[in-house]
Amino acid sequence: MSYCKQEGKDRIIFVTKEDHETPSNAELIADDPDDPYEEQGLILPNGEINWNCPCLGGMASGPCGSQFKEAFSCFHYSQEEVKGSECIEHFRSMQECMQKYPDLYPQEEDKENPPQAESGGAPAADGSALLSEKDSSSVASPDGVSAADG
Amino acid sequence: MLTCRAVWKKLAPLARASSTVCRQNVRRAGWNNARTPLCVPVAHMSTGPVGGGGDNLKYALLVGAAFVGGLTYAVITLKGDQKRHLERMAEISSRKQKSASQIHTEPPATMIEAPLETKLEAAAAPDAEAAAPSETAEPPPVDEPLAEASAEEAAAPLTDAGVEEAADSKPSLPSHAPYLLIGGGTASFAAARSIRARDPGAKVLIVTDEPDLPYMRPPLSKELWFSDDPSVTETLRFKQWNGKERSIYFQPPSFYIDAEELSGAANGGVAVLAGRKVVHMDVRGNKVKLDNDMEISYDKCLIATGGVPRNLQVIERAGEEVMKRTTVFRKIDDFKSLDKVSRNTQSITIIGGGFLGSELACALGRRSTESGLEVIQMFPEKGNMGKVLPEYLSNWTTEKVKKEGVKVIREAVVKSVSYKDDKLEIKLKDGRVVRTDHIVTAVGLEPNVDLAKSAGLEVDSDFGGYRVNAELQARSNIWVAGDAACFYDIRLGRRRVEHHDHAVVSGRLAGENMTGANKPYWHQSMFWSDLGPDVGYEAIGIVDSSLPTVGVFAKATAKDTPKAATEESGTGIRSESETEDTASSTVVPAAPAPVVDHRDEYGKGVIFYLREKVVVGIILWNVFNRMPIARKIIKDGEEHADLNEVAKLFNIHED
Repeated sequence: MSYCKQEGKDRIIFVTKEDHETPSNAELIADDPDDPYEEQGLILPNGEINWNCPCLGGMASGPCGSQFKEAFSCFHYSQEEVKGSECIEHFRSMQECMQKYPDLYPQEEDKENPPQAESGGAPAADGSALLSEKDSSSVASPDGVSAADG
Repeated sequence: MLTCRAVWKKLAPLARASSTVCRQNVRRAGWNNARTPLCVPVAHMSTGPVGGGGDNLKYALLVGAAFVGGLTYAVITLKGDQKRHLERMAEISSRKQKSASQIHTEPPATMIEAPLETKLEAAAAPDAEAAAPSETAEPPPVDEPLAEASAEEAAAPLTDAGVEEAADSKPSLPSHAPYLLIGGGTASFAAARSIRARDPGAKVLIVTDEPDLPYMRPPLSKELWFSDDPSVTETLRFKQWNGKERSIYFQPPSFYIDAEELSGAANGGVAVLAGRKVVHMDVRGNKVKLDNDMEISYDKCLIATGGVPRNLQVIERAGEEVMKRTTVFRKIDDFKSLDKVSRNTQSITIIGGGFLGSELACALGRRSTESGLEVIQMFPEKGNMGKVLPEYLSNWTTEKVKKEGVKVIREAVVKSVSYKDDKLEIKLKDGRVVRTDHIVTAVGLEPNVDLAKSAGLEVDSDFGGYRVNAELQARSNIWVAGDAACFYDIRLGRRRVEHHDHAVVSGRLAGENMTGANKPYWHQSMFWSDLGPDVGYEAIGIVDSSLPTVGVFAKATAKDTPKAATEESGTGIRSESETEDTASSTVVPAAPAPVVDHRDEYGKGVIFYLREKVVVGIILWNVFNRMPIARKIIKDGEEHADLNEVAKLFNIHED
């Protein structure tokens, strides 16, 4: 049983679980996926890679940024049957670069798989993705929470 | 007529031709002292028309004195100007020589230093000699640009030659940075990362007056205090939500390249010039001057100077003994010193009831359970977070803070502070007296706008900080981000925000715009705070307790605590210590008041802040992982008839 009280300009409503079981009739405006103002995920609407995605952490901006960009771009645009199979050289040079900075790129990464979009460059991610710890990163990730679920 | 005549007679020596009308009247009245024949022309300017011999003399003396006085003043002013001008010229030419030689003497112990210096001195001498004869030949003002130009030209080829020589053995600090970031905090680092991501090979120079590399501030009043590691003040590492440890520094030193190597770096990089303050900004010339007189020119510049924590005037005036025992909390050094103090004193008083003050109070309060430290918190408001939370919630929060071991003194306005009998004595305006060993002030931040004057940048009078547009631009190639930016928020209006996530969001946006994006501030930043194991909230938008609010609450269960949330979410940097583990087992008892009224237990819920019926701010109270929904509601900016319906979107009863 919910009840409500007013303390001056502030209104307080206590609700039980049952009160909130009926779906909400609040209306939310539909989002435009191509809105240029919005923060984008890893892949932009035009198909290009968003190097500034918080999900990548500092991968594209660190000392090995250019090698990472080349490798990942090659993988992204690869049309081969085994995606990215022609990109081995790029990944190798990226790895060589990363080995020069062990405290930036801890070496426990899985060396076989190219960095996936979701994992977002795992090695440096924990060190640098937490730049925007709380929320800015979670919103921008491609599998982010959708606002209007109901 | 008669009065006019009398007055006219008195003023005759001074009135002269201005009073023709009166004179005519006088003549008509027949007043005639026989000194002025009627046919004297009206526009007689020399002596007064009715001036006699004595009056004439007085008048002549007066005019003469005025003339001499004016002439003297003119001569003195001109002489002074000329003297100042000559002094300035001398200063400029000496400065040119000094800076030219300095750029090459900067890198310590270079072998080419000696030959370069002698080369420069030799060149400077002919410069001065060249300047001297031309000075005498031509009038001073014209000479200045000539002398400067010749000195510059001579210096320029030298500089180039110097750099080329230097590059072979050791490079010098850059005199030009394509991207110059003033300030080395969160916003600056976020911008640097953004620039590097979008502009391949970008060369970014961060200039900061702090000795530290860029670091994040929230752990200084939160996680670092809960660490089990006794050497935490040295390592500055804390445990994250996933159990992994990380440093408060955004990146280890190996991420950055040396400032000297920036110009020559093939793939660019981010360099940090620490311990150097930018003291002057020349917007027309696109360059800045540092406190060592070094000049750096830029293509694009970001000002992210943050702010300086405020102190109470009564403390600043209270003398050295009081100041020695006061920590104005903001930086790493303040954390280190406060940690030390908390282990070596018996009583600490925190002045300030906002985010920082309350977090520090809770952190120290937790320590007090082990060490017997007395922790006092005082503030002018009626309750903790009094300017943020509606009154009922602020009161409830204050009770929770007290449970953390803090003695809370509300409605406390400090009147004076003095040092007596080895203790600090704080006298409040209402007569209460508090005796303590150490004071921590958390009374707000003064945005740092030191460069506004020299740069000619606008400062906002309402919110403080540099005034920028929705794209964070102050001028076409100058942006401002972080605490120092008063920006236009398209949805919520002009504001200035002092939170960590805002620094990240605005820094990133500034970096994007510096690389050509032209996006306005749109993604709303958020903030969060934890006050002990029972109270944790996330908030977004304008959260001001003076606005009308609507709060929708459910009863909290043992599962709804920040501890539980961090294990579920992946969005927090909260960490838990062992003491918190034991504390949470007694979480949320019945309301402390004798009346067991569960309805007034504000365990978890959503609070909406309204401005003209539109939701402009939302607090998620002990409810986590719902920030995207809150952000969406603010972005829509709609009027909702029933906020309970909106609250349903948050599923506050679920985990």
